[in-house]
Amino acid sequence: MIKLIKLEWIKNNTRKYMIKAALVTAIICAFVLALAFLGIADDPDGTLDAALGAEGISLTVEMFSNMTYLLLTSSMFGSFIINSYKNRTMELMFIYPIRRQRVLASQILAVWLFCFSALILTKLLIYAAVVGVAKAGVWRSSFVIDIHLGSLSFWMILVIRSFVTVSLGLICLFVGMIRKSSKTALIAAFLLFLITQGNVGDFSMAGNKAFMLALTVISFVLAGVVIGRAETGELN
Amino acid sequence: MDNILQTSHLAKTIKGRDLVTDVNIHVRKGEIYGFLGPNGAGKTTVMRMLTNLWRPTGGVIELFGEKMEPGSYQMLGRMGSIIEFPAFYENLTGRKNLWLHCEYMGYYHHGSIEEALEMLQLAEAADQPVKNYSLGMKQRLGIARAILCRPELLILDEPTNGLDPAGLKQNRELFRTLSREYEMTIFLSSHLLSEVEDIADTIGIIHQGKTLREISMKDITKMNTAYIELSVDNVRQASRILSDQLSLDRFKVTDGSEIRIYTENIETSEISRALAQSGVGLHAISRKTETLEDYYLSVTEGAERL
Repeated sequence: MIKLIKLEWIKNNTRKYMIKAALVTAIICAFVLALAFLGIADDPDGTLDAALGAEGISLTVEMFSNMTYLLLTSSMFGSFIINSYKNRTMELMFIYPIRRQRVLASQILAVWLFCFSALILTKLLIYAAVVGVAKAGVWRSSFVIDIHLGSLSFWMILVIRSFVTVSLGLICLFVGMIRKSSKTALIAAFLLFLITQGNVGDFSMAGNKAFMLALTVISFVLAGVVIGRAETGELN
Repeated sequence: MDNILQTSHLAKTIKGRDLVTDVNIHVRKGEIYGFLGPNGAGKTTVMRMLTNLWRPTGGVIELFGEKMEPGSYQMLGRMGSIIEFPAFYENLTGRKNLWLHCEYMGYYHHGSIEEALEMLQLAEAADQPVKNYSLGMKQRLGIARAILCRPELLILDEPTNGLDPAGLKQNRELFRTLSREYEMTIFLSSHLLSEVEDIADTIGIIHQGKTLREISMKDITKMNTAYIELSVDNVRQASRILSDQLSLDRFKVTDGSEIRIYTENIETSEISRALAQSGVGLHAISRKTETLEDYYLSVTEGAERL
């Protein structure tokens, strides 16, 4: 399986996605630093313009990085899997002496592992930059610096949230596969982000652990359906 | 094991539409089998089933002496194939595409990629991205990939698509070499009957989802009746002269002005003299042999009349 995953990375020019991830990290990092230390989102009187309970910088970092990576994960699923059905390279994969389920599983894992690792790295780099600038003491932060790199809970939350975010991409893959369209997968990612992070008045699913757990479970069930269909489905 | 590949009453139905209904193929080890049929006859459907891309809805496929099942993945490692136009990772080079193929097939033989590239005259273009290849080059790269791992059975769907005359000739020689020197069995479909005629040992004809005939090229050659073809200005009068004056009964009118005479014991000069004496204008007269195309057309047209 490891070999199949590596081959997926080679075939799909993963270096391109590494550059994208690095670029995205730099942009989010610059934006978060500007928000925190240059006060670009502050009110004219200098007070922080943030929702009640969102005064901590970690929430902003999580929101931007999760949104970006949900889109990146869906885009990669589109490129690795949905497009390979369209450009017939999936057909090529199915004439090899490898179980179709293994082929699909390796493709899903190739995207999932890349995005999960990249998301953790992105968040770590941004958190480190925020902590570094805060400790330098040159600028005052508008946000509360609620980052404790040395605490176990910080690492656990970092891993769990990254896991959930990247896994939600599996729902987008499923939707994209139904329509055989990578654009549909991207739209699904955007809608999914709105559902999980958006709010209607005071009502929001953000932070609702049961809801996120349910979505994660659904993600893996749908991934199972995608893999299972490869065995029974036929390429036209 | 005489037959490396055989199918028995193979059928495929998709969404209520019968693509093939009764395909019986018998391919002997080491031979080149030409699979012929008009457009829409079901050739590609059969090839998709043979490569496990589609699962039959009826009948049996036996490959390498074993019945093919949905989980028969190991068999695929003994086959090379091109189904319709070959697909590639277009951003990767030709060489990288071949390397990937070896990795997936689990075939690690030093120099095999270079050899395949040389055989298909792609060595110079090997390090260019496939997206820059012409249609013919892609087709040749597809063949290079199909033969790369020295498969026992090659399944090639229209392998001559997009090839220029030089490429066609090169392909013919390549297939002969693969069959004779490497003992590969080749199962190929082509709409170019002359291409198949030149290289095939056995022919299978499929029409409207059914195999009509399987016959060796040797038998076709034996059966090929030499005939005299003449073009005249008055077919009715000419026919009367052939039957009454020359006592010929084995002839038929093939076109508005053409007649074929299937009798060897008569000279063309005798026919032209008889027609001229009766005032029938003779435009052309020649002795001919039936080609595979004639045979193919007689079989498929015969099926259509039924």
